Amino acid sequence: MKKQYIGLMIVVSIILVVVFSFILYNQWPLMTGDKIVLATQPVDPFDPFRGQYMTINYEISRISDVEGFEEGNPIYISLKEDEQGIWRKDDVSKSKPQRGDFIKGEVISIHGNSVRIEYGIEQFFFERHAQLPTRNITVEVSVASSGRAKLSQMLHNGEPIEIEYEKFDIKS
Amino acid sequence: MVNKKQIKQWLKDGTISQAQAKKMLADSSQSQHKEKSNKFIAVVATIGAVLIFIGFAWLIAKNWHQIPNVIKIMILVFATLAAFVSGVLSRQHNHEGIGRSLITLGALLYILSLFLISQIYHLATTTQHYAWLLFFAWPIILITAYLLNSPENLVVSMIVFFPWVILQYYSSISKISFLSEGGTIFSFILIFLSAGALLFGLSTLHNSLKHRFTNIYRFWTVFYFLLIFYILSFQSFLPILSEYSFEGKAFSFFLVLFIILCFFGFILGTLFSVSKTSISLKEIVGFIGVLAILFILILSTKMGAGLMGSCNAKSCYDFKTSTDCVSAPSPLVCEWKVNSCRQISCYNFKTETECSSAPAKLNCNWENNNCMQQRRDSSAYEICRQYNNQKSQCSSQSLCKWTPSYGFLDSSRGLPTSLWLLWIINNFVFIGFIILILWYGQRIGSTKIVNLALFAFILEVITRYIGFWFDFRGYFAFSVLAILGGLLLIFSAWFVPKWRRKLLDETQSSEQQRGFK
Repeated sequence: MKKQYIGLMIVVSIILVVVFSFILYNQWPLMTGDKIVLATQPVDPFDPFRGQYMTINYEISRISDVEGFEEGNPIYISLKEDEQGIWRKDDVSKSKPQRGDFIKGEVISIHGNSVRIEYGIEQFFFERHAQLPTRNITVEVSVASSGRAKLSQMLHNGEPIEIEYEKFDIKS
Repeated sequence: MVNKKQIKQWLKDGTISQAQAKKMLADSSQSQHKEKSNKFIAVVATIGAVLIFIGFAWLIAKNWHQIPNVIKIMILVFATLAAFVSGVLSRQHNHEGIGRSLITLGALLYILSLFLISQIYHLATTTQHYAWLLFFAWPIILITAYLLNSPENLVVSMIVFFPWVILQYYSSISKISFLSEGGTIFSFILIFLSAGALLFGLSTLHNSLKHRFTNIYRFWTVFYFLLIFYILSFQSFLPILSEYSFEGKAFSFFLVLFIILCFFGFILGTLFSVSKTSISLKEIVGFIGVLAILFILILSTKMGAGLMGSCNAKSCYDFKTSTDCVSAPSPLVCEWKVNSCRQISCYNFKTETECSSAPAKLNCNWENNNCMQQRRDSSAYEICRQYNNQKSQCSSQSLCKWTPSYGFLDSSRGLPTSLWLLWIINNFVFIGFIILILWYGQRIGSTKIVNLALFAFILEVITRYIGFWFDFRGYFAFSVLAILGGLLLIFSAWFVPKWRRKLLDETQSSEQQRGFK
């Protein structure tokens, strides 16, 4: 009997540690990172495991005139804020920049001298059948000092996006 | 527990008296009733657990934004922990079936918690991210299986392990480049083979420790090996498989590491087991024998490499010298002009006189002031097409040229003889392996393994039957196959349940003798 309770305590501890470490890992850039705003081109598919989401293609998702990268390589994009408050590409490097604002991505594919990059902020999950604008969308992102980014919120015309949720119905 | 048959036999032999037999039969009947009742409770409780899992999964898929994220996480984490705690407590209060299903529910809710967190933080939907989520899931559930003595959680862990290894491998190769189908299928077979070897090692290890999970590991070992044999029994996969290369990009770092770790586990498990002398040498030799046969079958596909392809008629452009060009085989009519071999057609003849003196095999005729071909000679295409997938015969025809390919649909043109023979051998070996597993299942007294082998046998028959429908087209073949299929089904309806009952009865009596549950 005692053995089962000890087992249970270990199981509960392991699950709590894994779940809260997972949460902390994802929360860290949101808690400690600098906020930047990126330009987007969204589309909206559905994931059977996690529901409705919007795939966000960023202005910095495809970058031209770069050489020496291979698929799977990390890539650092130095960013500079323009007069409209949007952060745009300033420079590209293989190693972590010593100063300035930058975001870390991974090279997914290479076409000639242009590369497609993923930053791990390409999805925005929202409630099924909810209504939200898809034009003039920008995304507020929190970037940790390592360059790892997390999506904070979606912006519409520079303001937090207003999502119209379907009215609650037991049949919904 | 003894069965009625044994009691009657003992009574007949005079081993027990009439009164003893009566008492034993009554006890046996009571025990069977109790066991059935427990099984029923366990089944109902498991259905309940699955329904709760589906309910939570659906809520997550709905992305219910009316509930704050923190509350959602707390609900799911609390529900997960509550399921584990109530499961253990139920067991302590002798509600074994309900307790087990609640512990399994805890494992399932834990998987959902991970998916919910990934949704809340808008994590990527790439294969690598799914692989990570599953990697956070299966090892933890495996730990819960051992700590809480839950065979169901071990099964859940193994079910999650299967898509994890596939997704992780796929993710490791998709980063490199697009792969040839050959290399990929070969790698999948290697993954299943390695997983099967690891599970065999784990089953022998558990057997030597007299652990209750032994039969679960045995079941999954058999499952992986049946899966490999089933893949090899397909005609269409053999030419694709034959294109593997050990230098290919399909051999990613993950694959190599996975294979090494699996075989390390296999060696460790068997060595430990041998040191405890709980495993007979026969079993290890038998397993290595099956591994060797599989390797031979897989490597044998190489003899069909490059033999798949289409045999097409040459055109004049295929002749590179003037001598070859002018002596091009019939029905080609070629001429050497401006350093290249060109086709002569009726349109080359501009007057009626020229048209009438054109080579006879062109079939030219003067019509409406034009030299026209009367009928197109397609005999060259017909001659060559019959040598599709027959490289040497095609190459020996002066009129034909060989274009290699190994695509999935190409096999519909007929396999090269060597691969066709290998396909026949593979199917016989598969049937032989099923018989071996039936024997093994009976020997160790596992009804689940016997059922799995029977399922594989029925699947093999149905798959080959559907294959014949695809291979033999036409009204006659369809009608013959329909009649044969009908007869087979009627025969199976009579024979298979009877055969299965007999096998299970024999297995159960073996199970009782060995004391396995």
